[in-house]
Amino acid sequence: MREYETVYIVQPQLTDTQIHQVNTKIQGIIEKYSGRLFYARSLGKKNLAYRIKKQTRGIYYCLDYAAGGLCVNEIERNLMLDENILRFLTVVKAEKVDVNARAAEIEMRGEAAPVTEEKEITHKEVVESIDLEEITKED
Amino acid sequence: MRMGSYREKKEAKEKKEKRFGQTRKFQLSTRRRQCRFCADKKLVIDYKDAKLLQPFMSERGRIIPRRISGNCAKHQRDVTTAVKRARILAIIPFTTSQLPLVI
Repeated sequence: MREYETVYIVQPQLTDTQIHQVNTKIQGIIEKYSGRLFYARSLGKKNLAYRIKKQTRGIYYCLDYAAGGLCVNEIERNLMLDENILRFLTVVKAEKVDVNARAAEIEMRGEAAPVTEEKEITHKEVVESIDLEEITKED
Repeated sequence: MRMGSYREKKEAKEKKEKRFGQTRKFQLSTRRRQCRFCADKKLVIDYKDAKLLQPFMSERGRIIPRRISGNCAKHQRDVTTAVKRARILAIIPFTTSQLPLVI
């Protein structure tokens, strides 16, 4: 068993119930493959650095779990087939994991706490923050 | 600014030079600054944190080399992978031309 972290971006215009459906479906896969879900948290609605599927914003979700490789395959397959998912990334956090010890550690450190939403930055501000001189200099 | 006498001006100039000389000497005597991740062990390099990665990226979104950022080899490697992961998740741009410009 390895510890994995999966981050996925959901379409911003989905309703809460639809998002809940997506989340429970993916969390259900971990249970089915007898993995252990440490936490599932929302990273909030964020501006994307570039457009994905013509969207400029997205809702980020982060899963932390211990499971076998087959479980990851199944999760990634589901994320790929779901049209409401803009992007996902799975990362190995630890090669060997002591499930109960890790769960206790997470609780102690408060890693599972949801991230508070950031202040929205409009496109105009982003454009203003780029110094045009710098760009021409690097060219 | 108040116009001072010649002597006052000269004194001020000398004072300034002295101060500058001291700071320069101080700079020469210091060793190379330690990598910020080595200095502060609590800092974790996280690809989900755009603010943390920003000092290691140029205005155009390129990764700043180690000789400028001052990171040690190990932590520069970690920063590099973190930046590359963050780019995939659209947390930071690949290039600035990708920014959703509104004209």
